[in-house]
Parts: sequence; C-alpha cells; structure tokens
Amino acid sequence: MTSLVAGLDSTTLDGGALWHMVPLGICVFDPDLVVHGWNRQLESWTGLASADVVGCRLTEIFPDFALARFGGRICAVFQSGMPTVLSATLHQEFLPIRNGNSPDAPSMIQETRILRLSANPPRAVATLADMTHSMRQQQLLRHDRAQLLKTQQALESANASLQESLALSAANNEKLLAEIHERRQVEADLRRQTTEYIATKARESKHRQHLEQLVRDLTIARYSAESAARAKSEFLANMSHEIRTPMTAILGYIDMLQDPDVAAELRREAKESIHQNGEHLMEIINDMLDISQIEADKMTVEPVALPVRDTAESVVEMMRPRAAQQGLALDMRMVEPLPPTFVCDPVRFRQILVNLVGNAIKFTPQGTVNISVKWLEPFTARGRLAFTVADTGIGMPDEVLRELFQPFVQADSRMTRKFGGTGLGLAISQRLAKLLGGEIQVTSTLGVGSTFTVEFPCPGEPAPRIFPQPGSETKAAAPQPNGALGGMKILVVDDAADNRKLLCFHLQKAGAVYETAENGQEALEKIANAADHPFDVVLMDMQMPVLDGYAATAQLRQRGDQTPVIAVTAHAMAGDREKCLQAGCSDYLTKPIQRDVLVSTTVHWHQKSLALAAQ
Amino acid sequence: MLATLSEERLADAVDLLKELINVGVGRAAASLSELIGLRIELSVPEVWTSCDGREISGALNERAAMVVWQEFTGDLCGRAALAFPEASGLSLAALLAGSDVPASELDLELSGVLLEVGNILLNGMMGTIANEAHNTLQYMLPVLHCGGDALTRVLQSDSYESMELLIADVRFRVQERAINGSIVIGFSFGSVLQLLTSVQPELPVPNLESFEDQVFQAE
Repeated sequence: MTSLVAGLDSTTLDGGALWHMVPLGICVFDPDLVVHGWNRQLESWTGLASADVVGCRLTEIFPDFALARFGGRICAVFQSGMPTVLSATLHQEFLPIRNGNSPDAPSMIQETRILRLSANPPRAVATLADMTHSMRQQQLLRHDRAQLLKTQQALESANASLQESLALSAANNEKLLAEIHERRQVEADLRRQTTEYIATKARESKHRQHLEQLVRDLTIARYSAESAARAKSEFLANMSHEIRTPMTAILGYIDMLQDPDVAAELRREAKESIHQNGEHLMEIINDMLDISQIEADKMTVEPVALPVRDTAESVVEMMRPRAAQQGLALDMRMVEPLPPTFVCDPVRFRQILVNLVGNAIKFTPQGTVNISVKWLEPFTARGRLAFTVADTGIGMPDEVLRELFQPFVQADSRMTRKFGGTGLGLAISQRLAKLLGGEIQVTSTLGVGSTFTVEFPCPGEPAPRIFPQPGSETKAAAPQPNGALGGMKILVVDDAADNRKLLCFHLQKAGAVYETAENGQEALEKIANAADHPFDVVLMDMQMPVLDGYAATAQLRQRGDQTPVIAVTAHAMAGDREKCLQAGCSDYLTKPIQRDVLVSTTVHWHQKSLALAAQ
Repeated sequence: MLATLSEERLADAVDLLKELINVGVGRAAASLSELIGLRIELSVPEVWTSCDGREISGALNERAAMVVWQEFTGDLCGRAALAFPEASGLSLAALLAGSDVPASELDLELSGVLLEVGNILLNGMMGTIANEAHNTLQYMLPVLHCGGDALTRVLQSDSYESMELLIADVRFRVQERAINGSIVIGFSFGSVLQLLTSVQPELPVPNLESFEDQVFQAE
C-alpha cells in the first residue's frame, strides 16, 4: 500500500502524473473505507483537498455515503479480488458529489469501477466517471426517442387510419364507380328506350298518317265510287230514256204503217222517222260500247300512216251536208307546211274529228264552223299535227269546261235532251286521242263559241308510208244497185227468225238466191247437202243453240271447205272480230245490218272466192 | 486434457461443475435480485463442455449478440461470459433501468446496466468456483461486446492457443418476462483439469435429479 501510494504520489509519468491527468475521480481506500489516495479530479469535483481527506473515512467525508448499498459489494472486492462495476443508471452516484460544490447544485451522476489494488495491505481503488452530461444527453435522447416513437405511433396510427379511410374511400369510390356504372347503364337503357319510343312514335305517326291518308283515299274513293255510281245511275237513266225515245218513235211509226188507210206521204215520213230513230239508237249503242271498252281498258288502236289532207277532207266532206242542213258554213283551212302523212288509227281519228265537227255543228245555231289543220313545231322531233274546230256557237261556262271530258258526267242533262246525243262523245274522243298519243284541248266563251283542238304526235322526218284506208274498200263502198248479188246462192244461218227474215229480204232484193238454217248443225248439213250446187257465201250468226257459229265455221274449215263465211253478230266488243276470224270466218259484220255494207261485203268475198278458185 | 480422465470420472467431474455453476449462478442471481429489488427466477442450467467456440454459439437457442465478459488469471485462466440474445439483453436492461421507451439497441444507460448485471452474475459464479476450488484468481474489469456473433468473438480470443469451454445455459424470468441468457466459461488449456482435480475431493457427487429451479426474491 505504501509503495502504491508512494507511487501514486510520484510525479513521474508512470504513476503520479497519470493519476492526476485522467479525467476520472480516483480514490484509494481500505476495507474500513479510510481514504488513502485522492486525485486532483476529485479535489476539483469535491472542493476537498487530498490532504484534508486522506486518512478520513468516506463515511465521515460524505455523511450521505450509501454504506448499506455498497458495503457488501466493496467487501466482496476486498475478499475475492473481483472488480465491481456500479452503473450510473442503477446507482446514480458512488460519492455524493454536488456539481459546483453548492448544496443546491444537482448531484453528479457517476459510473464507478472498484478494483482491488492489493490484498495486503488491503486496498481498493474506485474510479469515478462523471456521467452527468452523458446521462442528461441520454435522457434527452431517450425523451426525443420517446417523442419520435410517439410521433411514429401517431403517424402509424394516422397512416393506418388514413389507410382505413383510403380503403374506405376506395370502397366508397368503388361503390360510387359501381353506382356511376349502374347509372350509366340505366341512362343508356333510358336513352335506348327513348330512342325506341321515339322510333315507335315516329312509326305510329307514320302509320297514323298512312291510315289517315288511307281513310282520306277511301273517303275519296267512296265519294268517287258513290259519285261514279250516281253518275252511272244517271247515265243509265239517261240511256234508258235515250233508247226509249227512238224506240217509242220506231214502234209508233210501225204501228202507223200497219194501218192500210195511212196515206203514202205519211208512210214515207214514217219510214224515214223509223230509219232516223234506228240510226240514233245505233249511235247510242256504239258510244256505250266505246266508253265501256275504254273504261275496261279494252280499247285498242291500230295506228298507221295516213295522208293528212285526204283524211281531213274526207271528214269535212262527210259533215258538210249536215252543216248545210243547219244553214252553217263549214270552212276548212290547211296551214302550210304540212307533212304528207301522220300516224294514227284511221277509224278512231275519223271518230274523233267527226265528234268534234258534229258537236260544233250541233251547238252552233248560226254562223260558221272553221276547221284548220296545222303542223306545230314542224320538222322537229316534237312536231304535232293539230286539227282545230272553232265554232260561233253557244259556248260553255267554266264549270262545264272543267268536267267536259269526264265520262258519265253530264254537266247539264237538259243539254242532251235539247241537242241529242249521248253526252259521251267528248269523253270517248279524249280517251281515244290519248290512246293515240295526243290530246284534245278546249277554250270556250259562253255565248261566243268554242274552239276544240286535237293534236297528234307528228315528228319532222317521218318516212312517208301511205297505206290504203282499210274500210274504204268495204265500209265506204258505194251503194250497190239492186241485183248486185244476182245469181249468187247464199246460206243465212241465224236462230232469230226476224233477223233471218230481214237478211233474206235484203238478199232477195239484191238478187241473190238464199237458204236458211236455224243453227250451226243445220247449216253444216245444208252445206254438205248442197255439194252439187254449193253456196257462194254463208252469212253466219255466231251465238246459236245446238251448234254455234264458231264451232260450225271451224268444222267447215276442218272439212276443207273454203266457202266465204261472213260472221253477222251482235257481239261488237273488241276481240270479237278476232275471235270470229280465228274460228275461220272470212269477215265480220255487226248487227244491226246495214244493207249496203251487207251487200258490198258479200260481193267482195264472192269475188275474192272466185279469184282464188281461178288460181 | 479432459480425455486423460476416465469416462466415469469425467462424468462425475462435469456433474460437479454443474453443481458449482448452479450454486454460483444462484448466488449471483440472489445478488442481482437484492440489487434491483425484483424477483428473479432461474432455470436449472444446462451444462456441457466443448472445445469450439463456434459450436457453443451454434448450440445456443438464440444467437448471443450481447456479451459481458471478464477475464481471469491465476490458478485458472480463461474468460467468463454472460451472453444474451439481443431482445433478451435489451429487455433485461430496460427493465432494470426502468425505461419504458422501447429500444432497438443498447444505449449508454442500458449498456451500463447490462455491464453491471454481467459483473454481478459473473462475480457470483466465479467467486463460488474459486472459493470451492481454493483457487486464487485475478480478475480484469468486465467488458461489454455487442452486435453480431459477439460470443464467438469473445471465446476465440487470440490470447489463448486453445480453450476448453464449460457452458451453463440458464434461462431468467424477471418480472414475468422471459429473458434467456447463458453463462459460458472458457478455460485455457489445462485449467479444467486443474479445476476438476482441485474440487473433486471436496465435493460430494451431486444428484442432478435433485436440482430444482431456483427462485430469488429480493427482500
């Protein structure tokens, strides 16, 4: 111990210098805690000089010395020589030293190590390290760490809550998205439904409009039908009257003729009246046939090239006697240039022009009827041939003009009564003109006169093809003198006795020899029986019992018999002629029979037959 | 050197060492309990010997990342070490320091506490061994090593050519907390035989089955 203390007291570097230089408090003591060494650091910390403490017990120097706490550990150091560590945390201090030597100053926190310096004499050394600042720093650090941890926890908690709220908001978001999606779908559905609804509405509206149009059409059609029915009823009533009127005259005059006391002059007048009324009846029936054919779209036309001048003039010449009879002048003017021909159905053309001129004459009490022919837009593809009939007659008001060409509509039934005719002529003419590619136009002033113009297409460079006018050969044949059929043997086949009688009368008067048959079968037999002296011509009714004219003629032709067979029939509709010719008939005449036509046709076919036989 | 003992005697010697360690650890724990004023429970130490520090380290339940060790010289030479897995070391130090701030590594305060705890336990155990074996030993100040496989580093010191290792694996329970720790004593070559030779005549052969867990309650 002495050597140690002496060593410690030395100022050499290997002992005393270090003892005082280290920043540790160093105290050497014995088992009784008597101080044997006290370095300068301890002097500095405690303010106690080494000289004052050496030799004193620690418990005397520091009355607060925790002997109870450290006694055992210090004792163990001396006994076993094992060092002891007294941590600052567990013990705070080994020696109760105040920083700054003031009683109020805080205690110095120390970390102490106690080592046995020697067993004999027993000495131990305690080294004290001032841990006050370190521990303070440690506490601050720990406090900061606690704060940091708290902040971290708070952050984690906030983070967790944020995550939760994010998750919640994500969930809400998803929900919202789902809702948006759903709403969009609903919106799309609604839009689609709206579109469909609008489309349906549009369809409904269209259907409704269509239905309304249909209703209107039906109403119009009903009115038209009713109107047509009314018109037809009126027409039928009128026709009935028109037919009854001449029939009454005919029957009356016939009654009168049966009286032998009637004077010859009256008989002549009676016959003339009967003839005129018969003609009128024919006119009525022909018009009815025409209009019914037109209405049924059965009317056919056969256009051919016609000479312009001849065709027009023939009509005018035909009508001139009627005009003259009424004291009217009938003028005709050809406006040059004119084409040599135009394409038209000759029969229908004559019918139209006769109707127009006839009307003009009929409705013009005095003055003139002018007919002009003019080539409109000559020498061009749009060229038209215009036939104009202008009169100085009674004229027509506008309301009459509007319905002038309507069939079955008579603006004024009284007109028909007054002027005669069926009232169908203009309707028929207009339809025929249209069938021929043309049109009738009219201007009229009441009390001044009317002008009718019918135009037909007549382009500028037509190849002039002139055809002979069919019908002129037969229908316009000159009246045959009595005896024209002299020497001819003719078979008259008709189931109606009156018709047979009338035909036989005309034949006999024309010098022919005749036989009769009541049906086709009988006719075939008579023809077969007359092989020695065959018939020159057969006049064949077509509608008969037992065997009709068609079958009889067909059988005759099948036998190889080429005797001319002239069909004499009341069937005057379109196609009837073709049907007869197809059955093998040579020609076709319609009832009632005009004597002249009958004779000329018979002569024609007899001559033709003779010519063929000669070949 | 241990091989020079017969197998039977070796077994007896190991048993004696276990008893010594058990007694030493018990005393050490009593000192610690007295110091900190907390109830400490100790399990019966598992004791075995080895010559390889790495083997010891690998044999422990958990890697010992915190080690307080003291070097001793004299009749016996070697190192005594108290080793903790990191969590246990931190937990014990924080408990004794009264810190409620969770720590991820030893700071100044906690390392001071752990150093003192190691010092008390190692003193208790080494004092018992030295007393029983009538050995005179000199001790160095305790040192704290932290991080990694600290125990292996301590036991593989260059100071000794080779070491014979005596391991006592003890589990602590402080304040209902499970804290594992191991006491490992590495003797320099020949020291174990010296120890066994010196203690054997004095000590009765212990009955290991009579060993029971010890509880030390601060008064």
